[in-house]
Amino acid sequence: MEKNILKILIAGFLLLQILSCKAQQQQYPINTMPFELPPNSYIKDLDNELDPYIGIWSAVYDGKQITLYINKAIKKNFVYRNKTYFKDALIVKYTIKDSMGNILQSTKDSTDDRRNFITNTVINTVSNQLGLYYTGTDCGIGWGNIEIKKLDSARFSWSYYPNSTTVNTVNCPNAINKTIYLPEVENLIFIKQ
Amino acid sequence: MKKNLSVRLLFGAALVASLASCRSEDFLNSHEEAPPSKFRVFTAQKDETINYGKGFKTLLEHYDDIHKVQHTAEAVRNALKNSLETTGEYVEMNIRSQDFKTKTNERYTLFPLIKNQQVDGIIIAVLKENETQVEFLKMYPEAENYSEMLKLFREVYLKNTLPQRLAAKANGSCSSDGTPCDTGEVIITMPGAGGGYTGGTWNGDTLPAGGCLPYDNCLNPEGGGSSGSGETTPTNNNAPENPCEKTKNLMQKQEVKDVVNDLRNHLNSGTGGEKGWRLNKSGPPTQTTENGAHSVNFGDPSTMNGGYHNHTGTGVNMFSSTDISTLIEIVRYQNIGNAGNGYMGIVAPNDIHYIMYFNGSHSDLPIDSYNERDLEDWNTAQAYWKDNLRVFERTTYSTNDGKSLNSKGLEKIFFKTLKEMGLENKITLQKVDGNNVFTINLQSNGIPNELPCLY
Repeated sequence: MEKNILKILIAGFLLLQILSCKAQQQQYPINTMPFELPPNSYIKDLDNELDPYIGIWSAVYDGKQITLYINKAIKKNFVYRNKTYFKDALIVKYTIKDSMGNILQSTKDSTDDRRNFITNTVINTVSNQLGLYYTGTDCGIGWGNIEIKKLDSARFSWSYYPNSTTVNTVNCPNAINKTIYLPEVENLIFIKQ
Repeated sequence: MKKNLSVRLLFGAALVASLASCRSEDFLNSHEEAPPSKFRVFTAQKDETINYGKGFKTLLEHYDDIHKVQHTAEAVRNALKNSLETTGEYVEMNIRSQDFKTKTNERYTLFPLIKNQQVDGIIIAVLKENETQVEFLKMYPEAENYSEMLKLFREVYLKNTLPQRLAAKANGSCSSDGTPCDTGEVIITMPGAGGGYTGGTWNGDTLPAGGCLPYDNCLNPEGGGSSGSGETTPTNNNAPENPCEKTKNLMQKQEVKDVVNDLRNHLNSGTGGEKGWRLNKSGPPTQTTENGAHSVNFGDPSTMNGGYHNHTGTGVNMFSSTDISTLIEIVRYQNIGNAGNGYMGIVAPNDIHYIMYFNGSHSDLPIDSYNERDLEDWNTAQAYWKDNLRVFERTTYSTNDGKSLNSKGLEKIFFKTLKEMGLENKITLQKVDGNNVFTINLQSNGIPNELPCLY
């Protein structure tokens, strides 16, 4: 009998510990920089500011049909320098077709969040601007910022600002694909489908 | 008999060769292991008592003089005499505390830091490492008795410069052209900062911690005083170039001039894309291969002294983590003792031109090379910082149109990246603007500051 009571007490103590650990996960507003936060922090879209960008959007540039599939992932896990954090994030997947309708690149069904992956950095609801970053292709080539400015409920403009990457035989020893298919242009208008 | 003689001769020759090889190895070892020299100014003659405060004054004024930099009132006066630009802050070496000694036998003296003709902080001059290393630190305001000591410095400074202020009748300043006030020599008895000293690097780029060599003040020049970065000097005792001298010399090299001009022409041509040059250890510079719209491939870093490439102007026109990692690999393959020789430069639209050096020794390098995953993480971080700075700290760090970062924003990102890469204070950043060179430091308020090189 005494043994049973002891077991119940231990189980109760463990449950409390688990609950208290869960309760310790800190939540932060959507524009919080994740890099210096404690592990397992949660950057939450408290006011659903990301929602207006959700949808399928398309544009034509340089003869290519670009379709963006923007979804909101709730509490998606990210890893930075071996530290996990969670974030309500817009995930931008895309398909780019040439003028003949042939697919040049598509990340629509990709689960890779290290290559050709796009998600949000900061959002400014006053100016209706959304910052995104693009991881680039192999060895990060093409990584950079994308700025989306919401013009109205059915249109936004897209500007992509790729950065420089230096590779050498140590940091990127293998053969790589350097082709960037995203439209490198400012103020390209996308229409909601 | 002949055979015996030959064998004996061969054996003898081998023995002599072996001994000679041991001797030369011993000689090398004894040379490498020579203890760092002490400073002349901190060495007592007969029954003389060492005046550490005076010694620090002599050292820093002489350092300014030989390296053409300004850390002291004396150097600022000399610069003004020669119609040169002056720095915003300097140490008044004529006002100081008594000399302190820590439990570990380190010596230190406090001096007031002057900014806008007022005492703005406290500099700690430290003699350490068995009296073979000198360092100048800026005292943290959190240090014990800081406010009291600052107040004492301020009172003496104001009192001793009052006659000049009254005579000048100009805004309460000693002079209208910024000439430092003449304070006379004053030694103030200070309470000290709790038995030790608490401060951070002050002007680490132009005044690194180091041994007697950069101060030209070795008691035993053959003994091997250490250089500015604290590393032992392996085969030569030449004082290391400071970053300003280094960049000046580099910019005068024809091959570097040609490379920079070529990259500028490439940017102006409108061709687009990136282009790079390897400054090889042997032979003339060669172009990088497999260049792309937003990438260059430097190939094997072990055969390079430096690298230059252009940024296209679309992104962050500052060294990326991949640029920094390439510098680290170049440095890894420099000769021991010459880690600071490796360099990386970028040019970008709007006359942007930056250069960076590693300012530690080989032992300060990251043990492992950075991997692809690390570099991707830092790319992500740079992208985040860019958006954060240009959107939420626009007035300080953004260009007027809010699309990209101004020079302060670019430099801020660079220093944040260094910190994330574990390279804080290990890389010197310089901006080249025509014939002018600026060393970029991060101020205590976190905003980058340009310190002009004075030649």
